[in-house]
Amino acid sequence: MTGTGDPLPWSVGAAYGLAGLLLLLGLCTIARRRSWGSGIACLLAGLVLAVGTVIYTQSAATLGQQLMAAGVGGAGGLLLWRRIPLSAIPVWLAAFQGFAGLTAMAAAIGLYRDPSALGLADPVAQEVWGSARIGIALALAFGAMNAAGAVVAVTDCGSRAVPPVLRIALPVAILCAAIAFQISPETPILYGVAGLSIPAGILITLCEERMVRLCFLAIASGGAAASLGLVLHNPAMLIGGSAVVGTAAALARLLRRSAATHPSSQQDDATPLSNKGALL
Amino acid sequence: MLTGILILLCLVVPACLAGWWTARSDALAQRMPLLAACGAVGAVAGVGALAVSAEASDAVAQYLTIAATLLSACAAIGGVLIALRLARGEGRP
Repeated sequence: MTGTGDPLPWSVGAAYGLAGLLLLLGLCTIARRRSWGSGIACLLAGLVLAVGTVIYTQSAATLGQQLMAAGVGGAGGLLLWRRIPLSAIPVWLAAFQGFAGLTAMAAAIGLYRDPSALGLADPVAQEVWGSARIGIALALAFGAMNAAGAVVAVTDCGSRAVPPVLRIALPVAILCAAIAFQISPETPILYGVAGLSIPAGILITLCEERMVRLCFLAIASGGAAASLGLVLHNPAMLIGGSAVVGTAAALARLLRRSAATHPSSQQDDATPLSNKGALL
Repeated sequence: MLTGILILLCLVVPACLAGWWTARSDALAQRMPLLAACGAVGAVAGVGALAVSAEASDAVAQYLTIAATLLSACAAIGGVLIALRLARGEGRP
């Protein structure tokens, strides 16, 4: 993997691009009942190709640790999949989304702490390149919103009314802080972005129904992946993250509209998944 | 600046529109599996964590990103397998 200062070789860029297209194709195919099998196969192929490419392009010094971490995480996912009862699936989906948010936060902080590792630092000033700063700030913001929102979704609080002013003012403040970090890359500003994103994630999630909450979390995790992809010039993360944002936004709109048309479907929060045929 | 705009126009906007088009239909058969699959694809952020952990010389950055790799692997595998379970029709009356 190479950074801003060192462009990707064309073969590596093509592999990442192919991985991104496979992820997009997987999402498009899984939406149709008859072709979900090939959709899931495409998703898996895209994920494996993206991870395989990053492992192929990096130095082997930490390969053992990485493989062990990926193996333990994958085994955890497999174990959870076998044990989760149907009624708990929405809660676990929220938890998995929160894991993706924490991942983006950790990667953004790692990039900020050691930007020269991936060629993202100005060799003279030892600061993050201007073009990467906004991406790091946005990845941290989306990741923090996702992780905070996932806590609300996992604890399954009922939806509460939140003043619209707050729901608009907080994202605007986050954007302003990200722009301030682009102009002046100071550590307190970056942590200010994270500090504003946590209440924003909680408040935005709190005022939605359970299924729309999951859509919001997916939008945030997709945004975080796309922002990181922008920093690392990684087409797989850019395409995959953007596709998730589009899909989840359309799903949220659809769910809100069907909830407005059929108010009875708002009883989702109290109904076990096995009884929610309309949502499946 | 120009590269950023080109990336937005050529990759981000078409991918967003394709995702929107995927889920736009009222008659969408597979809402929950699609949501689970979105979770798995969101975990592609782990690719970034892997890249940072491989090259970072800062110990905190390295430990953070190794932990992130673990979480993203869990989210990706769990998301894909739950999507598989839901798409097969479990939970549908």
